[in-house]
Amino acid sequence: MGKPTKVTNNIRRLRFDAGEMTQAELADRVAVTRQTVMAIELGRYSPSLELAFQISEVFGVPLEDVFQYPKPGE
Amino acid sequence: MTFEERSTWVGAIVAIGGFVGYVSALLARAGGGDISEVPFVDLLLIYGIGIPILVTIVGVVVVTAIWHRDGQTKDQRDKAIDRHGEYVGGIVLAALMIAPFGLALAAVDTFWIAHAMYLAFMLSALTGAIVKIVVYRRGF
Repeated sequence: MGKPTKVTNNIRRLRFDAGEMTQAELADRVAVTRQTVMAIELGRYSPSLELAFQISEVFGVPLEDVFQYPKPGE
Repeated sequence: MTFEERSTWVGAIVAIGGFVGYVSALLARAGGGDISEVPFVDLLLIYGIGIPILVTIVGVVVVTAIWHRDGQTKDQRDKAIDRHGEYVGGIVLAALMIAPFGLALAAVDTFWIAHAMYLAFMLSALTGAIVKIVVYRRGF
């Protein structure tokens, strides 16, 4: 299973910090399937900008605390 | 696996099954004779189109019933994967349609034109489904 996106994320840690929120709970909060949350966590799917903001809103943190993108040359 | 992915699997399996069923029925009717002389319209409508549509509907209903807890949500990832699969399937269809077009220009028997078109539709649907399944599995 490859990782077609360079976008990395801290969703797993943020879920853990948020009282061990399950993928299903996060999925419900942002109106996607659990499989989509899982795909994002594993780096197999880059969410839309809107969904990315919604996820960061759920955790109450800035977008860059949830998603990161490597700088050129990294 | 989401509802959409399961439905895609149903579509792919039915596309193959429908093709095998139709070819089997056609060969059985030909009985070893010239296949292009076999009356095929009823077989194509029944085995190639009618039964696959019905089986797909039943299959999706069964899949929905078995995994009813997963719901039928179609989110942005499902829609993006669907668009990608349909796009690739459309390219395949456009390319394969050159064959029946050429056959028609060459005034070849209707049997071969119809089957070249049927094959193009079947393969484009199957390709689209396979692309979607691969993207679901490997990422997008």
